[in-house]
Amino acid sequence: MQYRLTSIPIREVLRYALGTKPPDPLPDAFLQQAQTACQKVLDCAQPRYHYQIDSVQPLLDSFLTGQDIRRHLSGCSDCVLLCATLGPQVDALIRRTQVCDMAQALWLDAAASAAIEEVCDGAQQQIALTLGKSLTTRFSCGYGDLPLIAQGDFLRVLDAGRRIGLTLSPSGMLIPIKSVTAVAGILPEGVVPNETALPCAICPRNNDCELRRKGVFCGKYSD
Amino acid sequence: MENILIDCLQRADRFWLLDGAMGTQLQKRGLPLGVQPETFNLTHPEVVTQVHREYLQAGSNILYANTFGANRKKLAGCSYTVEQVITAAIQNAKAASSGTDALVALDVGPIGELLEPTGTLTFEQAYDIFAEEMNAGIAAGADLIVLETMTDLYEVKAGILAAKETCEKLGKQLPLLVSMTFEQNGRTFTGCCISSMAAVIEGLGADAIGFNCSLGPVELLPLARELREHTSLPIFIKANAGLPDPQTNLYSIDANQFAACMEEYLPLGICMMGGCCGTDPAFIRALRQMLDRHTPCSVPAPTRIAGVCTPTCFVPVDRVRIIGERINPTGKKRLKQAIVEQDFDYILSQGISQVEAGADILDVNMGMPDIDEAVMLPAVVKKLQSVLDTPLQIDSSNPKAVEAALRVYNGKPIVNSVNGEEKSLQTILPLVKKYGAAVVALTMDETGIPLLAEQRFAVAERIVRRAAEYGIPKEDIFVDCLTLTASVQQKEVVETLKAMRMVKEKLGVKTVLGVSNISFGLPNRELLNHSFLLMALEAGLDLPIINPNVPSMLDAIRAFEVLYNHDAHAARYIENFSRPEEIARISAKPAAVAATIAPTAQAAADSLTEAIKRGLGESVRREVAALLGSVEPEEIINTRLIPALDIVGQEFETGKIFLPQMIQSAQAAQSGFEEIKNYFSVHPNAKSSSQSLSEKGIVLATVHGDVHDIGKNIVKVILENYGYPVIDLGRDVPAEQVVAAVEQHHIRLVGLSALMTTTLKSMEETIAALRQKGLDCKIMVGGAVLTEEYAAKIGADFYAKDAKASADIAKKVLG
Repeated sequence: MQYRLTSIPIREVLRYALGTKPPDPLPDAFLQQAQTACQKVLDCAQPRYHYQIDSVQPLLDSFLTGQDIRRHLSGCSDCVLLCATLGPQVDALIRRTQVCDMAQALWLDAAASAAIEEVCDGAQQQIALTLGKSLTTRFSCGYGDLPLIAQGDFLRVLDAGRRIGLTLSPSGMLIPIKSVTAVAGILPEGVVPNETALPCAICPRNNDCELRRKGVFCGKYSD
Repeated sequence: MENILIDCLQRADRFWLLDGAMGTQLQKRGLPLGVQPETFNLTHPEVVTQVHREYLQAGSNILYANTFGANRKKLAGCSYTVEQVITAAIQNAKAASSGTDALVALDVGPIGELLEPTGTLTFEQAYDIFAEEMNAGIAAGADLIVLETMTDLYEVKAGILAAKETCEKLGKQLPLLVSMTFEQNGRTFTGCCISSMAAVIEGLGADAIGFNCSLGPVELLPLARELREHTSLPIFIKANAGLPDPQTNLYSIDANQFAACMEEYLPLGICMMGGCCGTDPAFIRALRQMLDRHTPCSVPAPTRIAGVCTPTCFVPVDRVRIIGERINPTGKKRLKQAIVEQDFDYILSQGISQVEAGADILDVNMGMPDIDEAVMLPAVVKKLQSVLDTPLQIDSSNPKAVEAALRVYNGKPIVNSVNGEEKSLQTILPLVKKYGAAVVALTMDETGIPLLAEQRFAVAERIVRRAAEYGIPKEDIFVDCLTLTASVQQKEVVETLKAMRMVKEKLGVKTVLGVSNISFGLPNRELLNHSFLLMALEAGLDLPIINPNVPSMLDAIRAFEVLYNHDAHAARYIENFSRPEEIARISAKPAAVAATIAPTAQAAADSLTEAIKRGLGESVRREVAALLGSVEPEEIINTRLIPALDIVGQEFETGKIFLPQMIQSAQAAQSGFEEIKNYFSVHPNAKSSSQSLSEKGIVLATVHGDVHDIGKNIVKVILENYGYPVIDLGRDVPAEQVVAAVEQHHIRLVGLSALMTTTLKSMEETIAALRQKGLDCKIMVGGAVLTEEYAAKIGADFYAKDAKASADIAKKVLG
């Protein structure tokens, strides 16, 4: 279904674009460029998402492999499989901008990355509201030891091509590029969701990460 | 039988009832989730036949065989071939229909991967995949072909060409029905609009057009009404059973409601319908009962609209539309150089700047000695279409190049041009018809350009008549009455205008004209161009071919549109001249005479450094231009531009500035380099500082399978600004292409990027391929998931952690 995206968090855009903590005070030029990029992305994105609810165990027995996803969904008997995309128009906008203005393309790319996360956050909220249940944080292919190749099964199960126009390239990449697939556990009544983002500990690169060296965290800030 | 169906479809004098959903029917009968439904044709033929039989009993006249996903991509990994699956599927449907007059359709759905430029599947690969399906289906005895559930018009084009060319090869003439899947906003997922859909599908010669899936009959009705206004083809509809509930996946309307909704389509002259997701034999039965109460309505064909398009942008020629002339090497040294060097970014930037200035259509011409137009023209068309959705005019005198470009063009283009010569008519018109294009008709023939208006009119009339014989409607012909140069044939200038009035009035066609020719050899060309443009517009010019980057030309058109009441309430005029940049332009005082005192070299260097640091491209360009008269280009690069970039690089490394600022500085420096390049193209004897490829060239590629190329492009900007010539092979580049480029240009440094863990394998294979060839080149690698350690493990010489590091490595390797 279509998603009405009305704003993109500037702080996230800055984090993606700068790859490090934004300077304080923030130069006006940065704010302006981030805002311009956000507006362009908002004007051209066609955000859509689709989800379905499945039992956790059969998924763990098939394509949701590895210890990390098992741990993430522990205590949940059902989960939400989610896919979302900004649509091919945003990819085209970034492609076009790269020809003449690489710096602006970088801002657009950052704004689009922040936008798709925002769509997922919003979708997750709407789903939780519809179900009247709380959800865990999202977990995607490539996190921890859940392999990226599971992406194909994800899309097949969700019929993502027909539902939202999201496909997979032969090498396992989501196309359009600014897209996400994720699973979130449905928490039993009374269990409070753990709002903190996923820890660096499960990341295969946790010992060799440029961002960590700069003191930044690639997951979303969790305040 | 085949032609009977086509005739019946066109006459629209009977109803054709299609069938309903197949996949869910098979699931009800035991098809496990995740199993490709088409394999059931072989493992459970009786089940498939039973579903067909039920639709037949419910009243269907056309059964879609169970072949929707029977392509080699979707069947990969199962033990049957495409031919086996399709043959079995057609047999199963025929088993059900035997003894009845029901027809069996080869049903062809989307491939499942997105085509270029968004995806990685090429147009040619898509064509091959479809051709394999068509071959199998036609050989197995399908009565007709259906392409359905399409969301990408480019994929549709590949499918239609594959269907028609395979039919031709096998000596068959099967009807071809094409339906696409739209959303409520009147667009497909890929942004295709209904007017473009109609123009392309009708132009390519399908026999019926329609919608299926995604929406219910209520939501599809307004879209069907819109489609009716854009096509004279029969329309067919296979709607879903309403909208699905996201939680239960159940659809919202029942069979009777469905039939009642579909009744409303009949006044549109729609006489072919069935059901898609959520429908079953009960829905088809209800439709049968509804149709039995009616006879088909005949509706008048809509007025044809002259227009060209890309999937997302339909440009009707209902007012003056500007064709940008700048992508044509004639008389443009810098563009010639770009074409020779395959500097696509420069060519694309010419396209983008014209569109930003107001071009509605872009002319594309790659005609140059020693350039293989049949290769270069389609390549540039693809590249332009990957960044712009402006329709193109394919401009070449080489029919092979025209066909190659027409084939890969996504949408409905213009061909420039055909003329009254018999040979031209016979080669160009069939291409225009086959690929559903519009065409520029030059009013000249074997005898040259006739001097008198009446003679030019006669040529135009002949072309229009001949085109009609090929089935090309006059709305797709844009007559060019040919501008002659006022300095040479002053007397004949008015003949052009007179001829234009005649063709407009008597032939009712649209007109096109290259305007700038008028002023060759005379001073103040802009004045003559501008004046002639106004005269031509007054004589009925619809499509001026001009340089849209000259403001006075656009201004003339804007004023004309107001004065001729084409721009109601001067809305577009006011909107344009309310833009801040236009206000600034109009109110600007004539530029002060440039400072007469040349800046001292030191002062210029300082302001140049400052301009680069602050990322001010225009200032850098001006500073460099000022220096070029007195300082050697090489000195400007080595003592001004590069040191400034070094300062920026250091500031980035120490965290004083950030990546976007570094890129902006590099881009600003690029304006300076561009100015130097321009200087060389007009002063070919100046001592060139450009580095030879074998000395300093770097090959960059994002490896095979990877489409995330923003990182590689950032590296490219930085490297180019350190003066390294970069051969950018793009994204999704196969190993052999990297090897070939390195070999051909004796390259000493290669940069490879990959973003995903899944494509690191390709990176490793590319390195192995380079090593195996024994090529004497260093390899640097970069990308989000790479580490120093992993880079070493896969045999790279260097790990570049960011763009600045890649420039440092280049310095180390190449000096």
